[in-house]
Amino acid sequence: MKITQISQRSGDIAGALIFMATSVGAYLVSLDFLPPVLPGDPGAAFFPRAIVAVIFLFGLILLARRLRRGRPPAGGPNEDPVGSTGAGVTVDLSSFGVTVISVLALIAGMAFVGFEPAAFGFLFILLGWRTGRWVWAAITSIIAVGLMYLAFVALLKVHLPMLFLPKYLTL
Amino acid sequence: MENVLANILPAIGIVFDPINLLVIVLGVVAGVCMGILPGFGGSQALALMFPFTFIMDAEASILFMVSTYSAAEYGGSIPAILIRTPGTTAAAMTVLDGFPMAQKGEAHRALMISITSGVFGGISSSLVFIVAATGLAWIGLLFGPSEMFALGVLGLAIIGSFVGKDPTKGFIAAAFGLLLSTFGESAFGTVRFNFGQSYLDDGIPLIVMIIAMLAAPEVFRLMGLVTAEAEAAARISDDVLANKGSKFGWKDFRKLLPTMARGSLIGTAIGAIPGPGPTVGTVVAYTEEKRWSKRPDEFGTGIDEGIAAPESANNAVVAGALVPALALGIPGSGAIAVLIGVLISKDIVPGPTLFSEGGPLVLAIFIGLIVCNLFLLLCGIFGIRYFVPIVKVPGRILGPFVMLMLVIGAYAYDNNITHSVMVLVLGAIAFWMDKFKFSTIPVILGFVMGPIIENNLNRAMVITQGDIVGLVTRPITLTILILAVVTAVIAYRRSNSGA
Repeated sequence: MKITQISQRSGDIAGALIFMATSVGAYLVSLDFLPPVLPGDPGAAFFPRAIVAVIFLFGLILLARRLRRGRPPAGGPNEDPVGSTGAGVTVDLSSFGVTVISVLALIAGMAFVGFEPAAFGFLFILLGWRTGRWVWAAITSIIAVGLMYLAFVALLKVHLPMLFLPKYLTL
Repeated sequence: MENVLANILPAIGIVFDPINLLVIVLGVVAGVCMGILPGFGGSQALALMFPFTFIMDAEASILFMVSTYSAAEYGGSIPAILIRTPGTTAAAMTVLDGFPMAQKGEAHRALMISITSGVFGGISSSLVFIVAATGLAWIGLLFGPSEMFALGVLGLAIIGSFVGKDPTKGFIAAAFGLLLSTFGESAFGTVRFNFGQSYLDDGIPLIVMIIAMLAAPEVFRLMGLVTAEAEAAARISDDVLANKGSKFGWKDFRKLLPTMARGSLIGTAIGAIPGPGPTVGTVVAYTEEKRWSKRPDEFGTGIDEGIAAPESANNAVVAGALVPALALGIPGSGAIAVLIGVLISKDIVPGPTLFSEGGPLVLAIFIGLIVCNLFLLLCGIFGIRYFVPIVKVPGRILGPFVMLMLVIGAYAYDNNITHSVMVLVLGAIAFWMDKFKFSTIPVILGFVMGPIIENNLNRAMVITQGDIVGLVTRPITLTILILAVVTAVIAYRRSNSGA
């Protein structure tokens, strides 16, 4: 797995910029909202604009505080008491990527193939890869899919896109 | 108080309905199991259990969720005592004396002190809850829209200030939650922030937000645990199953009564303040107990008081946190936001009118909390050996199962696959926010509070003909808003001093 170290300061700066950009984008979208029609009525845009102003303001404060403090000396003591640590944040991008792709595959599989094969494939591959015990992974995945079917479809009446189980297993 | 007396029999009837009793038992079992899992606290347990409330009525839903929450807070102490790994952050203080006691071969005694103290805290705080909440709701009835708007702002200011170390990040997170709450149809006959996508016309469902913000960050972390080396080895003392060590009896209970009473009082009081939550409650209870003790040097070596104080505070927080949530509609933590979300999903609006017009529901919650604590006690005494093996489940195996639960849970709300995609996207955002110490709890609280704040603001502005200055300078409104500013200033001073 590829482990990346990102300093808390860099993360905070990036976070502040992302939130500020989000607030600007939201403000621009709010320009299309309907104007107020009744006297005293603040209109659909008033509250969202007040919120984006707050996000922008605090984003600016966060950015200014991190930039003003400068880069902490390498190996030195934590000079920022408000959440920044010299050690930084460990980021495992490949593991995050695998998670996102596997969940996307699960969702797409549910939509286009059906719940049973999608959920089985998701559990079987991830459990087998993690434990190296493929037979155990297959059996566990089959049992888990069966239990989820009973809990969500049979008991909770969730209309999961099923491929074949309802033909053979109903309560 | 007349309301309380008039509603007590119907409330007992609700709680002792066989289905509701079963639901409480299921909530207790599910809560303990989830609390045991490292990283899964009350809010994560509630987020995962939310989909199961879709088939329940309002009373059963809230009793199920309250039982799950209470039991999850207790469950966190089991791995804290057995393998030095707190299942919830609040159980971290239990490690200090619980684990050394287990190391001495008295794990069973430590677990018994934990369950007894937790149940004592849960029941005693429930009794305080009904008196305090009724009083607070009576005050709340005097408030108009502008005061309720200001109260909402104060709630967010407190939460933004004290959840996490940096108030700036807390305020950004709370405002981000408010912004997300404005997505979809509004009261102005227009759809906001749907970006041309029809699935956003109804906004982001609360269940999606709850799962994504509260459960997903931990599940993404679990999904990152690929190899066995990434996990701490789970070593469990066989003494638990063998029931070895000195027994915890009535004499010990009486000896610990003052400790449990102090812990319960601290837990209830801290729980009632939006923001701090059970973690702060247990830290304060432990520290105070050490200060009161005649043998403070022995704390940390495995003494009874070191377990009883934080455990009673931990469970007392639950009822304490329900006071402002039910009386004023201000959720003080992520878990309480989920509970409020359950009520809203059943068309019940928390707030002062819930006490005057909500019938026996509030009393049923209070009685349900007591009953659930009694079940918890039975569960702890007779069923502990069956829960212990859960401690051994490795995170790398757990991750895929819980992720699958999240995806299906989001889908279950409306049989809509786009909700599962929303959970993935918002969950990924929450994961990165969590990584960079932007707490996601203010996001969910902002999301829940958003409609309440906006509706009250709109109503107040219509009343004052759009005079925003006149609105904020009403005496009570101004006082509450000044309190919000003072809270923020205190938080900044605290963070700048590095406290």
